[in-house]
Amino acid sequence: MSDGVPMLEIKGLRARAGGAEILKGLDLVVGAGEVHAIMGPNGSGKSTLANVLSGRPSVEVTAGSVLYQGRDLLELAPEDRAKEGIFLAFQYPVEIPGVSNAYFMKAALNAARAHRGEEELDGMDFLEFARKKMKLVEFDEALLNRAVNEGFSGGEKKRNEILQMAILEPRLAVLDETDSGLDIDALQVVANGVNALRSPDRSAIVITHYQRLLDYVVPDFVHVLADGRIARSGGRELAHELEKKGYSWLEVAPPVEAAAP
Amino acid sequence: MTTLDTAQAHFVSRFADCESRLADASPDWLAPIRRAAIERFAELGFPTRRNEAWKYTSVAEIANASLDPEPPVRDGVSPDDIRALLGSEASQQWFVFEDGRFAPELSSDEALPTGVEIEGLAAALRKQPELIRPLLDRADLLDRPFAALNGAFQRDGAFVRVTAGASPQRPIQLLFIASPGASGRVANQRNIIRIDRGAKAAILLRFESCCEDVYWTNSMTQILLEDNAELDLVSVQSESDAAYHFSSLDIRQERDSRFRSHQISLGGALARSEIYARLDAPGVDCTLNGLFLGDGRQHLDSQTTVDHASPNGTSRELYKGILGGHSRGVFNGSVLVRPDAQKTNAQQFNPNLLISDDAQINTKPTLEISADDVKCSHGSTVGRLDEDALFYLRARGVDERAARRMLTVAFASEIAKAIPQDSLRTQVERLVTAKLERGQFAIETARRSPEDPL
Repeated sequence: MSDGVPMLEIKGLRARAGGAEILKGLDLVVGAGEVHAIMGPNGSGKSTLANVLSGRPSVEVTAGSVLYQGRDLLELAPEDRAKEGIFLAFQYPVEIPGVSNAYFMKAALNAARAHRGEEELDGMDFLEFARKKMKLVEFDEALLNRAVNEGFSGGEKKRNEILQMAILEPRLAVLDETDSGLDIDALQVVANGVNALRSPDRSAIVITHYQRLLDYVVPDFVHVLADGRIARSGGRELAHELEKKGYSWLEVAPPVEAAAP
Repeated sequence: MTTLDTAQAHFVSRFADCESRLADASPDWLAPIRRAAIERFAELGFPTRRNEAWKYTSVAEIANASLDPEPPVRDGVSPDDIRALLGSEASQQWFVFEDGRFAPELSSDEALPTGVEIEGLAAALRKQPELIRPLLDRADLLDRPFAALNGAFQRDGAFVRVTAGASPQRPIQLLFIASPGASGRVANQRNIIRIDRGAKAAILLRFESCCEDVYWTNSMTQILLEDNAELDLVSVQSESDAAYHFSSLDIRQERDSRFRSHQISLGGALARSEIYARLDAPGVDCTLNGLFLGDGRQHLDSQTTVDHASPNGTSRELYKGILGGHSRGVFNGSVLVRPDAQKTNAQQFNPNLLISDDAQINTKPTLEISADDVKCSHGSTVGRLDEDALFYLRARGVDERAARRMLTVAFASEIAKAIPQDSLRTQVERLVTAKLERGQFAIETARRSPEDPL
């Protein structure tokens, strides 16, 4: 990004989900080219933050602002956010019977290309492009012709998320606990996907419960989210500290209610 | 007198007027069969909603329309009409029936595949009475009022026979078209399909219309599969929006035969299909798949009965409904397993998708089991598009309207995908997609979000 406009600027964000206030005045600035890790106990609001950024209709923003490259993000529909370069890797990727993975990804890529005024890719060109990306994330091509996530193992679903990210090449990637439940090989694939995108004009927010992923995707900043606010921020060493001591040393009150899915 | 009584009297008296004309058109043995049918119709009358099988479907509108069940022949469909309707498929081989009567001049003149006989039933009645008479002379077919009405006024339709061991490469395609002059009329057509021992075929029954007014297609199709015969029957109903369409399908399966029905219901103001499949011999396999897509004020009713009367039978049934606008769907599926039908394996499922707040479905899957060593399951669901799937697609940049359409097409796609013949599958996919993309469906698949200005 030029002119020092941050990639993302969140101020005083309050949001409700499942009938409860989950985010209670969150502030966060993510600069262009930076990778931020967000950690925190269950129910602290990590997924709600990811949902606010991607525009999930079931989350209601009640106060605060979110600027993406200087523009009001909250007024954009989810599809427009995606076309503008925001990508959410889902914690629970959805199975969509009857829609082929290849058809879906081609539709997604062409939506973004059309938005940028680029020519849409036909089936052959798309496949050629997708093959390079599949190699990067060690994705089994057979899964491309199956229905989106249908019958995929947990690991295959997460790889599918990372493949979509690699294909869409977002400006701001948000990974919502993409590492949970993955073995070390799969973890490395996820990390390769994120690291391949690292550049001065792209940013990432990596939401995780564990420090483990951060050995492979080394963040510029680590934030601890607790009870709907950033309780503490620091460099990558903060993640190690959390790993050793757990969240209790932060002396934040445990959340009363769990975040709604 | 109620409207229904008036209509019933109208049809009965119309029969008396036309009886000698009908008799002149057919061999003598058909006259008593017609007479028995009209007598049965006079007893049954138009069904009321007190009749359990008609609980959710009112025929008052049809009764009010005072339609003519035995109109004079009036030509109206031109080869250009057919080309316009069929588009790129017009170059394929078609056998055309205009208002239920065989129209050789509109049909393809290329040679029939080896082992296939096709002609109008009116001609076949005279040539092969020994084959056809026992099929038409069946009292049990008269228990449903509109099948009885069809029996009384039947004149013509399709006669298709695939001879023993034959296996034609291409599907046999029959086009039933309502002519521009069909307005105010009933086409009572009778089709007979016979797949002889060991033969294997695919047959398409496609119902189309060149008439925008009210008319009624009352179709009865009888199918016989001899030992070890195999048939894929694809029926696609795309009548006009003002039309009434009733189709009865009666299937008899002999030993080790395999029958698959793929029934697609798209058109009509009021359309009802009734399927009765009797698995009469051991080792029979029967698949009934269906898809109904309603919008506007359409009323689409599917009634199916699978009657396991012999051991080691397998039946699979999957009927899917997608309903938008103020449309209404009815599914009434019953599976009977008679005491002798041990080792039966029967499944039945009816999932439905409602894409508007005003659409309705009445679904009633039933199982009646009188044998003890069987595997049976049945069920139905009613739901809306999955909000999580919708959000997932949108979060990847797919517009809401496109995402809704993608999920709706996906829900429908399972039925077309089960059609083994490529050309038939492609044709069905094209017709289903066209319906989902036209008018009201397209608007509705776009308007359910509060953020959407539509």
